[in-house]
Amino acid sequence: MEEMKPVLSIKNLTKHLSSKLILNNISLDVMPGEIFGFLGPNGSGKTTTIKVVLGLLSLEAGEVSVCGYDMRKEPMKAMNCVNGIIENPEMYKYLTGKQNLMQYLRMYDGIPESRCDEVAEIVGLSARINDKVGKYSLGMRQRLGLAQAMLNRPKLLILDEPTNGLDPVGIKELRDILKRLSHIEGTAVFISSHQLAELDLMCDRVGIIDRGNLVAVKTMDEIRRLNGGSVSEYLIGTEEPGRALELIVAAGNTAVIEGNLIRVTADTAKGGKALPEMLRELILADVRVTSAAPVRHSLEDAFLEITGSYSPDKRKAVGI
Amino acid sequence: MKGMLKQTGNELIKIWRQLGYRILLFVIAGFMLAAPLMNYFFGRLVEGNFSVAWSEASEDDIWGVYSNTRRQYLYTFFEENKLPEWKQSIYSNELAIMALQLKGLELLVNGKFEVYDVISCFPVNVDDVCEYNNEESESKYYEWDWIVAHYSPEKTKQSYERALGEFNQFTNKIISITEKEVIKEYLDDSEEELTQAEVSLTVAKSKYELENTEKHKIELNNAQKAYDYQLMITEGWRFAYEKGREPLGWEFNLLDELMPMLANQALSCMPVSDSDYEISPTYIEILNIPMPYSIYVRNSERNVKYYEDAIRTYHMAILHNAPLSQAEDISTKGGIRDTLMSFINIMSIFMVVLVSGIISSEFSSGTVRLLLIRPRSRIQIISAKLLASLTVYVVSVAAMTVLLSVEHLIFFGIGDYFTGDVVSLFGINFVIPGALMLFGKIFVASLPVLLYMAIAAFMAVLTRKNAVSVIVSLIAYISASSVKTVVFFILYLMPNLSRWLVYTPFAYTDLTGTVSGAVSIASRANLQNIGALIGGATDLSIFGVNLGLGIFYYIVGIVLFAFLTLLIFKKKQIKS
Repeated sequence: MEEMKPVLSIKNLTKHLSSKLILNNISLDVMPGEIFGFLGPNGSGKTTTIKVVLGLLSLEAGEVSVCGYDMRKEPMKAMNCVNGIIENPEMYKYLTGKQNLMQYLRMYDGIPESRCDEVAEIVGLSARINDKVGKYSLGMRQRLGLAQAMLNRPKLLILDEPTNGLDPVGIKELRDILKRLSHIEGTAVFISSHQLAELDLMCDRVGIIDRGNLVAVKTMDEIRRLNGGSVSEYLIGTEEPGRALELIVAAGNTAVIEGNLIRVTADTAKGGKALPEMLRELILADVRVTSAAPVRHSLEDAFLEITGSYSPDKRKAVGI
Repeated sequence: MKGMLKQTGNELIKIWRQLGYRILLFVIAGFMLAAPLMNYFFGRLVEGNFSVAWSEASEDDIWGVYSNTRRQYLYTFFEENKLPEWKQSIYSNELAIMALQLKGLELLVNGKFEVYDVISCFPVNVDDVCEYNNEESESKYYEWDWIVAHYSPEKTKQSYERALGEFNQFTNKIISITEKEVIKEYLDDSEEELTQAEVSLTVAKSKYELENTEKHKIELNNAQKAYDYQLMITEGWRFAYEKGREPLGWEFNLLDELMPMLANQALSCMPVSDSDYEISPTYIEILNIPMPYSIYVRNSERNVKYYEDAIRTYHMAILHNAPLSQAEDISTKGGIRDTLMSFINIMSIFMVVLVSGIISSEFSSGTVRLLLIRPRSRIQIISAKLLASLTVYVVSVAAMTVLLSVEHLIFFGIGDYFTGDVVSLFGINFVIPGALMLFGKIFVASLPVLLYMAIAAFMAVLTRKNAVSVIVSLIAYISASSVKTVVFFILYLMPNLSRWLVYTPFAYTDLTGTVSGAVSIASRANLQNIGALIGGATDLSIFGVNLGLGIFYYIVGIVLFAFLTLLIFKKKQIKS
């Protein structure tokens, strides 16, 4: 199989704004067809990275190439195959949705006018596309923003906080649209958000940025097995918590009772027992087990751990 | 290139879809179209309304009322007698003066004022002042708008009857005189002046031969020049007479005015005669400058140049059948021009608001982020904005020109719309067709507008703030005429020290006076009106400013600010 070239390649990107270091030596690649989540606390440099990639801020040090085109040498070719939303997608309020789309459509060459209706259809705005944008709700403006970002069938779609103002249904639709774009049409999606739960559900890979440093790039599988190796965590529900706890601790695990559930942390390397073995032991001991489930690590856990934001003051700082 | 044009279309759509801009533009255009008609019809309403309140009015007001009333009177008289245009333009001034004198006398005779002996009833004129001043040196002649002196009622009545007789005679003459007779009259005068100039020249020659000093050499030189000019003028008249062609308008009056100046002061270094007062009574009084003579004495060299220029212009005007711009106040072309100039003036404010708005709103609304992530360079995007505003301006002015022309043709007739004009550029005079002159004027008047637009664009990309950009550009707009007025005063007060000023851009911040080209007699009219002076309608051409240089400075300014705009926008970091 032919080796895939990254759609977005950032190498050693460093950026100062007003002599303050905002991005420090960032390097990452985004491959075709993947949804790449870009996470970080407020002020960590997410939007700055996006702005440099899209040419809104100058490229100070490092290299950025989009679809193989260097942003310094061939910016127009690069911009032709990328599109996106940066912060809130502000539109011309005195124009209708359609007229707004037409504004952007005319900035590309060789895209037929019918593409406006197509993208409006995809984001579910067809009914209101001829209304003035001034009358749109925040969610509708987000949808229109997404619509314009798809106008030129970009190979790389960059979305900065796209779920802002969307209702749960809108978020679900956005997720479906993005999944289809990436997994079926092969578009690479670079998405930054603080809605960790949302990214959790759609991303293939995430990069975590903290105070201008890219601290981790991991696949979602790696995130889920965050602690990795020998340690696992699971919950067991039982009608006899006292007896069950004794057995569990006796098997070499650590555990705490949380109501009807026992939270177990097992480290097999230190003689602990993983869920299947422990369950078997409990059943053989005739403990009435009502439920048993492994604890999966969420993106949030990973995020908080990687950015080191567990302590109360840090939590405050990242707004969690 | 194609991308930029497409983007210009985008920008035009955005401008058009913003209701505010559209309404503002239509309101301005509507008012401008209504203005000529309103002037005309309201003018008719107050026709012939000579107001006694004049006696209490200030000097400035009098000049305003004077010219309005004069115009009203002339309209009535010309229309009642169905006078052809050439007669209107030749006699309008004398007729108006006589009518006003008569009116003043009538008021006196009817006891509206205390009875005075009337030297003249013309609203204060320095000729009158001089006349009066010679007889009774201690007088406060400026207390009256009509110059009056204490005398008997009988004498006043006699004056009135005499004036009435003269007036009737004069109007009868106007009605009956033929074109040929007029030319003959002017030719006779001109030949008489020529004889005088010849005598002066002979005298100067013999003086020079006798004494052979530098002073006499200058006098001889001047006398020779005066003779040459007079010869040229006389030839012009003779030419017109022999061809039997129609008189051309105000140039006859102007020449008439000009000749004594040539003969007396402009070309010699002799102390100036009383008639120099004519240049600016109001001006002299208000500025409290004791010696009006100094104007000519100090600037005599420059004056020579000025009059040389004027003479050449008039000469050409006669040969090419081109009326001078002075005739504009009763012409179709003049009407269209005046309104267009007002329109362009107002458009400069509108364009500043528009340019600032279309640039700064992209920043303030955040739309700039979505605008700049396209496969179009920033230079293309900002150029498209500048091009779109330029298109709005050009289309507006073009549409207004067409609409005003149609309006004038419908309501006021074709008039002098297609007759030629004299223009002066880099010291060379030439005659161009009237319609072309209109475009020339529009072009020159548009230069400041383009400069304010470029400044507005520059400030908008620099500060991203609409208010700052509009205010700075409007300060430039407002201060332009003041800067020129300051330059005028400096030149006036220290002509030799500040001569270099006319080569600096400061002398060209306002081209209104300079636009009229070589026909600089207008400057005298401006000098007489302190209101116009403060208002910036000063004409610096008397000091030798050059329209060509002014155009050059404007183009440099426009290019400079447009270039800076592109440069700053290209480098702009979109942080928010």
